[in-house]
Amino acid sequence: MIVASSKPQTTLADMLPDCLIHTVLSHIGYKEAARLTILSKSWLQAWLTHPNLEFSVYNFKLIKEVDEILDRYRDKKIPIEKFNLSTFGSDEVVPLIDKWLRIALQNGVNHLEFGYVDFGRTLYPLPHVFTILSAKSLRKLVLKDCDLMQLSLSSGYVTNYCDSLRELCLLGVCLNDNMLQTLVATCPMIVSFTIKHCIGLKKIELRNLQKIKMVSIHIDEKQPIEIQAPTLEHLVCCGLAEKTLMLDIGACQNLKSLKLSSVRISDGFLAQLTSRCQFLESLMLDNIVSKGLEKFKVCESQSLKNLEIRCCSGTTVIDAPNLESLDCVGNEIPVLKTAKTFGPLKHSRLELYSRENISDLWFRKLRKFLFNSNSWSHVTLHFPSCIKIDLENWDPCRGIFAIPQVDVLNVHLIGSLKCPSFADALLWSCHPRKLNLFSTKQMITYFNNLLMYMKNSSHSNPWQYQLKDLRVHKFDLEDLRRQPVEHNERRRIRFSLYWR
Amino acid sequence: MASSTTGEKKILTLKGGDNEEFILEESLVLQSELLKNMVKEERVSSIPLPSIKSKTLVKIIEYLKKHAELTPSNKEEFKNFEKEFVNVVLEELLDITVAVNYLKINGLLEFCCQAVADRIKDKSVEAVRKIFRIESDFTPEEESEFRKETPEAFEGDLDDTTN
Repeated sequence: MIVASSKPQTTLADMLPDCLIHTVLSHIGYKEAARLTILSKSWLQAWLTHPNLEFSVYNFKLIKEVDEILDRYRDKKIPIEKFNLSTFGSDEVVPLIDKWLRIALQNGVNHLEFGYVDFGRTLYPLPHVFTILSAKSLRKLVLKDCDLMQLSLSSGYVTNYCDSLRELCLLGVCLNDNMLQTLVATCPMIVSFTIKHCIGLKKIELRNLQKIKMVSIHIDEKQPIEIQAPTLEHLVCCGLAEKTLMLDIGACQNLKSLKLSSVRISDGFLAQLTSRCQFLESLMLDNIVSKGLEKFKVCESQSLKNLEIRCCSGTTVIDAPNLESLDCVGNEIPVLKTAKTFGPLKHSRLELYSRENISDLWFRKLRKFLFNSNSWSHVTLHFPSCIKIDLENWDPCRGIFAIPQVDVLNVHLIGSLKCPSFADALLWSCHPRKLNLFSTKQMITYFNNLLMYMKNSSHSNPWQYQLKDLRVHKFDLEDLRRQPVEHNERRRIRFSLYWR
Repeated sequence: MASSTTGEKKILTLKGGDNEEFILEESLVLQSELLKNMVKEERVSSIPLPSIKSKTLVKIIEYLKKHAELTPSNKEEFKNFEKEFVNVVLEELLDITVAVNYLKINGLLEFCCQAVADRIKDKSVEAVRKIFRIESDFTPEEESEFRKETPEAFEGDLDDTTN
């Protein structure tokens, strides 16, 4: 950037006063900002008072360095906004952790993260969790791999409420039910609470949180969860697929979004939930196991707008007249039973990863599913090289006559299929406006020939006759180059199809 | 510039660096701490801002208008506007940032500083030096010591381009 100009050139940096360099630097991570200190003395000065500190202390040299930096922050009373410390477990660093955290708190930290890495051997026995919580400036606290079990609760630790904290995250922390209750009682104003992979809890019970909006729980054992929070809007629950989820959220009438992941749910769980939570807008079900058919009901929910179903077993019965978005990902074609039809969806996506061999029945199911569910904007089908496709019994004249329309159909074919009627059956299942094919040159040629034949032939089968015109868009070279080497053989091609 | 009132709305005149005048509703400028104090305490109706170029002032007024119209339903639209707002050459972005700092429009200042930071993220020291046309005021000795102490600052896969 050289500007030819007769007037004396002011450098851009001259235009930025030192206080702005400081603000700009605070938007760059601490470590990266350190790099920029060599630019000039102003930048060095700005970095020396950087408000967001992040230290990963994984060797002995760093211990001394971090200690010196924090001494300087303490002595000069330099404000700290964010403090992120992760340390390894060694005798040299452990005595200093407490000192460092205190400096951060004294200097007004509002976002504190502390992680202790001892490769799972031991947890850090954090002695002053209530002192940390009572810091007036603190808004967000994240603790990783700490041990709170050894704290005694009897000696009047909890003297006053800590009403400044808004967000609390406990990751891999060891604590018992009593400690959890005390923590929650100590900070009643939290808006967001996350508890992941914590050890020692028999039950997770949350109540008396007046402002809570967002809760995220990941459990590794079969603990019952009870949340009594009328203000709660977003809930995430992850567990173990083999254990039945015991979740009591009867009092959370204002829930707007719920994500359940890797849990087994009991009969009628969802139906009960949707009848209780009248404002539920988004429901995401990921890897949910439920027994048998008809157990997977999302019933009579007037409020439900977004539904995501990923890798779930069983039949889904959806009765949600105001549904706007539906997203299904899985190995099998879901059977969708709509008690009442929902209007044209704003967004709909189906992604199928075929694992078993495919017969004519598979295409019939696909066609029926696409037909029943009104309109699909994106359908993606993955066929790995190992599957066999057998269409000997395929009868194109059988079944419903109207062919469902699809905006975009993506087909991923690894390897070449030795099945001449595959493309026929595919276009019998749905009529895509755009067909993206990711496959070998050979398969692309085969599709291309078939489509040309369909367009030109007037005596072919009725579903073929409907193709009015087609256009082929080859992806440019740049696209091909970006493909990984092992898939060098594969190509992408897009057809625009115009149906009668 | 006498103060004029149309209905309930008070009108205010801002004078940019090149004496160009901008007439706008007083309620708009209240987002600026500096102007708010001037309007409330000194009851002025015309404020000269000689250090701010008219071009920069136009941009800032555009932002104030959009921000005043912000509702939960047009959040997305506003985000796109913000993105476009900082999509200008660096020199202009710095002009805006400095002016916003002077006017004390806090939300916009954070946003502009983030935008400036984004321009130099993942860039090599040499590239940042070129972008900002910074001349080092360290002595060669200081600089070589620095390089020795923090070799990691000059290593790694960093972007050397100055766009």
